[in-house]
Amino acid sequence: MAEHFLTCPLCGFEFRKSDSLCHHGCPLGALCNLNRCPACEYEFPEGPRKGSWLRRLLQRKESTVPPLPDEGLLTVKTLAAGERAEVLCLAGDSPSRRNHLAVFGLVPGSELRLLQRHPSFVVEIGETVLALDADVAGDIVLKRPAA
Amino acid sequence: MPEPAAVESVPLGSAETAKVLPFPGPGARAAAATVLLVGNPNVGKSLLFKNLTHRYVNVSNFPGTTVEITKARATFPSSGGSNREIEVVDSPGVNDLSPRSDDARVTLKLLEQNPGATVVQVADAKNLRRALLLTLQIAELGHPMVLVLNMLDELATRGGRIDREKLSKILGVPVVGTIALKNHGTAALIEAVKEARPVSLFIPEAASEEAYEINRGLLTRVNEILAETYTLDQPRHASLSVRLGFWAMHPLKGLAFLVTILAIVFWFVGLLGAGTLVNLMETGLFKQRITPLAIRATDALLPFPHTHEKKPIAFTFSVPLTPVNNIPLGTMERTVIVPTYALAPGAHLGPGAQILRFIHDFLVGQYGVVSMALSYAFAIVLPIVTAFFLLFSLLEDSGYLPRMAIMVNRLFRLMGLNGKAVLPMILGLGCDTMATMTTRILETKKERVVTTMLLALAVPCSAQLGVLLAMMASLSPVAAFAWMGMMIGIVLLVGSLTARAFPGEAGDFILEIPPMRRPQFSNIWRKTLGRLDWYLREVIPLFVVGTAALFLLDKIRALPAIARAGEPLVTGWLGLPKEMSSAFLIGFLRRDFGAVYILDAATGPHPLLSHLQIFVAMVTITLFMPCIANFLMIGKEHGMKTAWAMAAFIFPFAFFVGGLVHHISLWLSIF
Repeated sequence: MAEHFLTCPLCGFEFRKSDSLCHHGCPLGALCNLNRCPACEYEFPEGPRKGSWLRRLLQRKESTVPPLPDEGLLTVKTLAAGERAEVLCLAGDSPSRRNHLAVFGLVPGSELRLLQRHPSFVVEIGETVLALDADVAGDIVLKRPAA
Repeated sequence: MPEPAAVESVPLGSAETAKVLPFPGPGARAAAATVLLVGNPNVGKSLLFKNLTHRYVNVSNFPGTTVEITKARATFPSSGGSNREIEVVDSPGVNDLSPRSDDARVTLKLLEQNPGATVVQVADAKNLRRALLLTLQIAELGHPMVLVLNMLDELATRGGRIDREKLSKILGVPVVGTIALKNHGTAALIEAVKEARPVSLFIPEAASEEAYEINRGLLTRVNEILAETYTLDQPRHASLSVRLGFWAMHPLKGLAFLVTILAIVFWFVGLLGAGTLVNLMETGLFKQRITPLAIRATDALLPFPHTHEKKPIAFTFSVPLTPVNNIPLGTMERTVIVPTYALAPGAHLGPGAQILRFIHDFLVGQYGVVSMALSYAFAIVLPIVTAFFLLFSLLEDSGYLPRMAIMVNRLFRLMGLNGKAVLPMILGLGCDTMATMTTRILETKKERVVTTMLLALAVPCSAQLGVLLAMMASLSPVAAFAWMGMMIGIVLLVGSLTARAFPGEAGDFILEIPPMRRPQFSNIWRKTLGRLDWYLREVIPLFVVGTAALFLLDKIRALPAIARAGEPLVTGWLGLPKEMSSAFLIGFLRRDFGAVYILDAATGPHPLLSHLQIFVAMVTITLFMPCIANFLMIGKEHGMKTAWAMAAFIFPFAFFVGGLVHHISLWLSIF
């Protein structure tokens, strides 16, 4: 059966609705519409269903996160193919994306080399070769190695 | 010599996991007798599992091949002379134990519920950094551990060296080197399992509870260990496979590569498999030999007064060049008996003979188990599916598929998916049910549902593709391109609409690209056989059930009634003869089966269908849901509600598009 997964808005932890344990002794029981993140214990209401599927089909998508300023910032997106650089930080608001990159060794302080830019960005970190989307690439902020 | 015992596979669906775990099962045998193989994706856990237990599990050069837990018992020689029975468990690859993905959840649960089990962590020696990050995460759970450095040969060709003794001293656990592909180092590993100890390295407490911060802290520690144990002699020349790997993802060369690969797949599966091999099996083997033999045997065992018709059946063996040109190598004609028969004139069948006739028809009649179900399963489906799986396994092991994902990422983005979805989509050309199971490698629910939907709607599986290609042969090449264009258009349109209508976001495209490797023939062959075995088990019962249903409907003379009931839809809307109702009826069971029915009507000396009708029927049946098994698999993966919702969309949509093609073509007077 399909499980209903929730993402904690505070820490980004993804968990099953059934794992959302209620605070002990709460009299509301099943009537309560708060969910409790098992990782950080933050309680939040499950977001209202954002309209029907028909409405989603017809409405325009709007981005909630403002993009990083482009000028003067060195990211994987602005690096030239073949260049090396050191990772300064990982931007973006998604902790799960940051962790996803971290387990491949892509963390601040590590050195990477951009292999190609099209059709997708491909970076090399040590012996790991990773393909990335443009929006992920734009969130990896770099600094040039001290020559 | 380890002796294989029972192998069990536990599907990784979230509902099942809770039910099946924890094991070891009955009697909770001594906990130390369990060995858990854990490691990053694509490091060779499954190969090592095979080496340890002599049991084959699916192995490939694509991260995330193991989508279920496999366990097997193996007996290892012990130092005391007596044998020790050990349960070996293969787990899905994980980069990180924070329970974000299904795989990580399963692996973490597996570790937590077997506290005394020995953990054998398999590491890609080339990529020690990531392996050690995982080692330090597992270390916190306190299991006795062995670290296996696999792919030592690839490390050596890259000029890397690892000081195993020093590493073992730092971590406090045995470190073994192996080359699993060549089965080197397995004996040393078995010895080392006895020496397994918990990691004794001190790991400072993390300052934060966030997985990312913890991992950052651990990586600092890992880098210190690497500095002491890992050396790389830099200047290395790019080997052919490395260069090939770069070409395959280059914007232009990569595109040429992709087109070449697709052309080879088309020739091998579409022309050689679906043409030459099917012809050989269907006409050469079944129609000329097996069916007549089965008819004779049945007649001898179940005699009732009747005579079978005899027909000359010719079969030409040829090597295909293009869809319309081929090199004929030889023709063979035999006059043989066929399933159609006439009762002896004036004969009256008593109840006994009636029963004999019923069984006779059930076995070798027009809708007989041998003459229809088995000949179809073995003669048409088997050669095509074999050709496809053989080539797919080759592509999979070479490491080309992730590079293909790079090439198509932008296109898939239009459908709210990312390049990773290319693996299920391509596998869908082999078997949609199997591909639906593989959608688990995708991260978000949205991606999994959209991919499943597109697979069920418009990706023809190899069995159906073969039948469709045969049908296209009777049409012009323009029609073939029109059909292909329509299917691609529908995939893009429905994909982008489903992506908008379905809540949630597509996951990030962050895909590890493995090195290109020369595929091992034995692995490819074994993998193909494994898939074929699965496929035939899935398919043959369905064919027999489907044929039996048709047979019974025919016997109780319900087929004409069904044809009448379907008339408004089939004749009125699609503009097809009413006999085609049964094709669509059986198409609900398996759409390729329905397609065979249409093929029968479309070819032969007196075709029932005009060219436009063939095209309309082809489009409609392509858009059907693949088969009952696929429907059930969707239910298993995403819930029955989703499965019914998809069926409720797909079938009306198929008829809608078919009718649209019919009416638009009439209106524009095409054909």
